[in-house]
Amino acid sequence: MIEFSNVTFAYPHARPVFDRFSWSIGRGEAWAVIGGSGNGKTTLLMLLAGLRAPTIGQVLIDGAALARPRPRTGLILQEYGLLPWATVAQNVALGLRVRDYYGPDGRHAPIEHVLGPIDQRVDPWLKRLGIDRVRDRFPAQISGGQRQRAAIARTLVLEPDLLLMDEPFAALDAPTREDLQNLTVELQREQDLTLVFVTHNIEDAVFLGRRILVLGQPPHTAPAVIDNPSAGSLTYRSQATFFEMCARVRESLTQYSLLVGPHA
Amino acid sequence: MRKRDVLAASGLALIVWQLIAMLVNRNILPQPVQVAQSLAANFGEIGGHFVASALRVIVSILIAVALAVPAGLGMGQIASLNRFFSPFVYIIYPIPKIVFLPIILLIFGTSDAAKIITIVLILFFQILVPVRDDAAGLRPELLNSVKSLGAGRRALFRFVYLPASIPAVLTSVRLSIGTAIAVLYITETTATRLGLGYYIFYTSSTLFDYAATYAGAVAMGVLGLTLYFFTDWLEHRLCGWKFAA
Repeated sequence: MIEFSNVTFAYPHARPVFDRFSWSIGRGEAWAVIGGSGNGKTTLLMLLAGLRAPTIGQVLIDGAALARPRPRTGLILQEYGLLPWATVAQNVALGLRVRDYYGPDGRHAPIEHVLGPIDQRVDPWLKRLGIDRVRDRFPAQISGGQRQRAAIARTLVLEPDLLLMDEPFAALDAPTREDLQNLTVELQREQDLTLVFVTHNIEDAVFLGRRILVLGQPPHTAPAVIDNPSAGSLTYRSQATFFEMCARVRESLTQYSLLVGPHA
Repeated sequence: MRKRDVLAASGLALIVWQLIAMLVNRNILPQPVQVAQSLAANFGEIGGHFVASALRVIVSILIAVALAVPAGLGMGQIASLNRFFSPFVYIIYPIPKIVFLPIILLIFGTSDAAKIITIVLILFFQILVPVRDDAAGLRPELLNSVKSLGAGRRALFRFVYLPASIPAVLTSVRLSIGTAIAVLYITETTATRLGLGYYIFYTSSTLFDYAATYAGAVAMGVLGLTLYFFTDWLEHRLCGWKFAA
């Protein structure tokens, strides 16, 4: 589904982060991308989202080169993604309103986008994510976990086929974090999403990523991938293989001579 | 601000005024009662001046907002635009624009346009700068996540920059009301026979009717306060999220 074809990317006046990097992601796969700060995790996600363009090479999605954000890609960031002046329900409806604003033009909204009553589409997602009780609150009035649920609802209401998440649970406490990890696993299966989950947290990566891309020190020339076939089951967290896999990922992170944070 | 506190403060101010007026006991400081009588006696006349002044200042504020908000949002969003215009804003901002009044009067004559242009000139910069800074200070995470929902430049403007600018606009309008009315007064002391500024100036310098002068000043105060309260009310209505947390 996604193809990085000889992608080179460098910020102005800096060494490349990716250097002729080729990588591919199949439809419906769940990937975790792990690495320390400044190793290019977010850059990779921005390239996937079409918010940055490769200096050389191409990112292809379903065979088409990505030049701008694609309507069927959902992006969820760590924080600050919600409009502070809009209620939870209004925030969840935002993507639909943007689509209605442009109409089904294929650029900002999918060609098959149907204009229609927004509430009917928003309500089920508010319920599914358990935030219908706080629908009329502002983001500053709800918990971090609820904010992240609102961000997920806002993305999923647009029926994406590709979901990109950038450290979405980093600021949350442990129970909320596990709760949202479970939710992500369920939703990924339920909606048959292709998932790319960027994190610096080993447990996040092992629990969610059936394939784990390890980013060491840039520049990255070839993907280092660990297969993690047991991921995606809600009971995985308490199995011995989970801890073995965490140890393996930790080892490979050290092997790439990384400094990893206290969470890892 | 609570209504009860505002009323209590007004009552206290009236009492202090009454006491000082009784102590001073001269016609340049009439008692509140005398002013109230003058206000009642000339209600129709003062009302006419009030409406003229209110229209001038409201139209000025609306024009200033209509010009400064798009300009501020444009400069806040587009770096090259900001790089070009910011030095001009920087050098013009501290100039007291009121000094241009004689020139504006020369160009636009005694019309309302001259008065409105002078006020707009002052308010424009006071609104432009905070709107620009707010737009430039929006978090990239917020912009990226809205872009990822499909928003291009137009939708970002509509769904992010415009609503994000409302608090800055209302705050700067609220802070500018005092200035706007001060400038209104100055513009109305010349080249017009209509407006509270004219009434205050005329009753004191020509008629020596000080109670009427104070009545005019009270009317001007009421004008300022009404605009202030209205902006406050708008802010609570439109920016409920700022008070909710």
